[in-house]
Parts: sequence; structure tokens; C-alpha cells
Amino acid sequence: MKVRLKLFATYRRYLPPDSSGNALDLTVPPGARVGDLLAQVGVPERESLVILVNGRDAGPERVLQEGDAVAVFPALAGG
Amino acid sequence: MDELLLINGKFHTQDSRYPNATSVATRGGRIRAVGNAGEEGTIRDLVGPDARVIDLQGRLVLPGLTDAHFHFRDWALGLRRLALAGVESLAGLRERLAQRAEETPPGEWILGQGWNESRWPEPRMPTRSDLDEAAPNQPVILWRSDLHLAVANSQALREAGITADTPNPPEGLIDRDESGAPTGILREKAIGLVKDVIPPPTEDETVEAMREGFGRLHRLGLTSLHDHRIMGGDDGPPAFHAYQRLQASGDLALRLWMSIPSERLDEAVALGLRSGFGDDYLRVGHVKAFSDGGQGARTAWMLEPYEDTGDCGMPLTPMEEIAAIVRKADRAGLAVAVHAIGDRANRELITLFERVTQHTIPVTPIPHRIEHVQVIRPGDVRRLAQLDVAASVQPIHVTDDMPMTEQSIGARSRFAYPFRDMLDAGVTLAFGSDAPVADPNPLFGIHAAVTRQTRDGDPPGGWYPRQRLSVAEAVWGFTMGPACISGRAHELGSISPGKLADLVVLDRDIFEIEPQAIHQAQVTMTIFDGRVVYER
Repeated sequence: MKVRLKLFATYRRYLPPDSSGNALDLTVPPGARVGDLLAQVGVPERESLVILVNGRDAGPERVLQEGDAVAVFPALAGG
Repeated sequence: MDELLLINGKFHTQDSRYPNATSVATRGGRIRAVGNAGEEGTIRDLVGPDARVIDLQGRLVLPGLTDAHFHFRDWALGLRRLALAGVESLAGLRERLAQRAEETPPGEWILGQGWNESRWPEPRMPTRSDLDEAAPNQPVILWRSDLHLAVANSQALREAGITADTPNPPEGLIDRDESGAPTGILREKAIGLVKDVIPPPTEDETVEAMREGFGRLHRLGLTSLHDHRIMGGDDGPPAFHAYQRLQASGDLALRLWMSIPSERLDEAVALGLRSGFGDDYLRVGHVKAFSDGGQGARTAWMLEPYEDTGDCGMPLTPMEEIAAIVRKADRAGLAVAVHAIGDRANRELITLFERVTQHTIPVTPIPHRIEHVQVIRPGDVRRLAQLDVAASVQPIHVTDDMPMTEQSIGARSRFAYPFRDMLDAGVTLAFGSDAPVADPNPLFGIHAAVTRQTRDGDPPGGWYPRQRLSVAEAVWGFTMGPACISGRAHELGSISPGKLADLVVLDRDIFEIEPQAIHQAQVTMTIFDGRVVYER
């Protein structure tokens, strides 16, 4: 199953060194969750992590579907 | 602590965990819980006996709307200026001006804004003699709707010391007739020659105008603004000062993402400011720079000449200077927003971002952004999508400026406002109005993005209809898009537990009605910070 992961801002550090742009096309097994996808590229699951799947808020437990676009970025901390 | 219980709603949450939400509980300015259909009882148990219960009677609720490109101080002060947006001819403009002149003591300035000759029967810009006849006894300056051009009368030119011998200022143009005398039309930084001699509004006047402005925007469902500096950035300090005064008195009734003029970058860096500094109401936003002008004034920087003037417009800030601004800001944790309208300006800017930022990890989670991205070639859209740079665009300009765009760039209009292409390529889009350049009603913006038609339904089928968006995508642009590009998606942009309680209730379901009627939808209630700030 193919999904696209976009890493923004400071999370770009988890992109493979030879990648261009900030998107990764990845293959995951059926039933994989967003959390599994993040583990695959080494992004730690923190509370301050913002996850959007196809533009909508989602948690790490969200089960991925073929063609999903997952965007992750760090939240601006503090108030 | 204020508590609200909203029941029987149709919540468009933009949160995949709550696809069919009908109820929301808020407490102390935050969303406490969201209930899907059938969970209303559970949500009810979460609020105390003093909570205000609001039965929404099935109405649609959206996350509070954000306008990602707004000039709030100018807009608010403009509420008191001569409004010329609805004027339909040069004669109409003269009539309105003459009326205002009668009510204004001799010698006192008359400021007006919003005229746009492109839809007039005789599409000619006014000149100083038109203004002199209507207002012979006061200095007058009237900004065109795009704010990149203004026309002044003879008395205003005299007070500014502008004569046939005045040279054009850097990055500005004084239009002249055959004899070399100024026509009254001033472009870009030439406007500043007149603006500099107008007595500035006092801070009390500014604060009062802003207070009035908050109420007006709540009626439109707006709860947040990304407030941008105008060219030159002189509006920055008085706006920031007024916001802080309003914040101190507890009267700041919008969330403001306040940009810093690039002219003040050195001071911001020296102070140690970072984008995002502030609280739930007022934060330091992007550093605002300008790469070119506007299409109406033919000063946007194009790859090929305009159809009518034969030149390509102009860069307003050399790209090397912008590169230096981006480098310095990037290192200091400040994100940059650069104005770019023309396809040349956008191409150069994308190259600049590729060169300057692509191989560094930024200090801040807030992305850089390009403001307007108005004309952009397909290859450049693909390059932009590869970058961590967002596009802040204004759908209402599509329909307001169709005739002007056709006139100025002809068949290249197919490269104008390519929202569908940008979204499909993966560019993060945030929507705004550019008020006071255009009407701030976000439902007009959603209507324009979805139909690419004027509110009169012109042209049938839409203008370059391939670039139309769905209603859900357009709503995203006024909610989650701005939240993402200001690093605040964890607090704003969706109706999710823990996020700030900003909500807007509409009188009709814009997902169900004919798209052509979206602009007629009205806000019936606006909730800001867990408080009902507007209800009809």
C-alpha cells in the first residue's frame, strides 16, 4: 500500500540525506497506522506533533488507506 | 469560567476522529469535548449547571475563520474614510467626493479608497482635475482598490511639494501629461510623497477604529487575522502599539498574527524576537518583504511584457536583498513572507528559496510563505510544491480582477490564480482577502474559489474553471491552512478537543446549497475564545 509522507520545518531532519523536497513516497503493509509510518522513518511520537491525514487532524492510531497524504510538523510550543 | 454546550449542530470539524459531530462543549476558551451523533448525553454530562446551552437547530458550524492576508489598521481606519468600492463610474466618484467635500472644513484632508476603473463604462482613471472640480478647497488623495496607485488633487500635490520638476522617487512613478505636469496619479512609492504630509491618526482614533473593526469582522465569522504590513512598513509600529493597548485592556477580540516589516528586521533580530512569540491573542508573525508591485498598476514583475504597456513591470526589492533578509531571518528563527504577484517575481523567488533554505533545517516550525502567488507558470508550481514554503492566496481577487487580468496579460491569464494546480501539486494554501484591497467577507472568498464566477454569475461555468476547488478545500483554506502556516495547527483550524474555542455558525449549509449561492450565506453566531461575540 502506497502513502505519501510530508515532513515540515524542523522535522525535515528525518528525511533521508539524498532526498529532494520534503515528501517521501512509502510503502506500508495493509492495516498500518500513522504511528507505524512515523516509526519507519524515525520520527518520534511526541505530544507536540501535529498530524494531518489528507488535511484533517488525526492521531497516530489512525489506520492508513491507500493513497493517504500524511503531513507531520512540530507544533509551536508555548502560550 | 464560561461554559458553552452546543447541541443539534452539523459540525464540519476537519478532524477525522469526529466525522459526524453534533455537539461540542467548551470551557474557559477551549473546546473540551466533541460528540459524534448519539453522544450528546455524554457531552452534556461534561458541563456544569451554569453552562449556556445553545440549540443549533441543525445548522452548519465551521471552525472560526482566519483571513491570512489582511491590513487591519488600514482597513479599520478606512471604515471612516470615503468608501469608493461601490462606485460604478467616474461621474459617481466625483459626486461622492463633492458630497464629502461639502461636509469637510476647507483645508482638512479628505482620504478615500477602493475605486477601480476597470469595470466603469469609460475605464479611465481619475486625474487631479477631476478631483479639483469636485473638491477645490481641500487636499484629497484617493487610493485605487489595489493600494499600489492613488490619485491626488492639486492642493494635495502642492502640500506635498510635487511639481513638474519633482523627480520620480526610487521604486515610484509620478504620472505626467504631455507638458510634463503631474496628472495626479501616483504609483507605488510615489504615493508616499503625499502620504508623508497627511497628519497621522492619533492612537486613540486607531484604537477606536480597531474596536469597531472587531465587531464588523465577527459578523463575517472571522476570529483570526494574519495582519500584514503595507509597503514601507510604516503602519507596523502604530498597529503593534494599538494591539498591545487593546490586549492590556482585555479588548483584543481577534487572534492576530502580526507581521514585522523587513525594514525592521535588524531591530527584531537584535531584540531576539522569533516568529510565534506572544500569547493566544497576539503573536509576532512573519517578516514581510516585497519583491514586486501589483497587476492593476502594471508594476508586477512579469516574464513577458504586459499586453497594454509593453513593459514587464519591475522588481521592488532586488532578489539579492531578499536573499539576505531570508538568510538573516532564518538563522534568527523568524519566518519570512514575501509579496510576489508576477510570474517573473514568483520564479525568481522560488529559485531564491531553493538556493537559500532547501539544504538547511529551520530554527522555527513556521514555514516561509509567498503572498499572492498570483501569476505562476506550471513548472514553477511544481518547484514550489517541493519546498517548505506556503502560498498565501486571495480567491476573491480572481473574480474582482478578471477583466483587468485579461486586459493586462491576455492569454497568460490561464497562469493566474491556479489554486487547483497548486493544491494538487502539494502546495499548502492559506486564503485571505487582502482587505481593504478586497471585501473581507470570507464567504465571498469561498464562493470565488469554488465557482470562479462573480457574485452575478459571470462568466457562466467559471473563469478557467479547471482551477475550481471543492467547498471543503475552500473552507480548509480559511481555517486549517492559516493555522498550518503560522505553526498553530495544534490549537486552531479544526473543531477538536483541546483546541481554542473559535466557532462560526452559518444560516445555511454551504456544502449542500448551489455553489452559486454560497456568497449569500450569513453568519448567525460567532464564538471567539469560548464566548459568543456575535449572534443574530
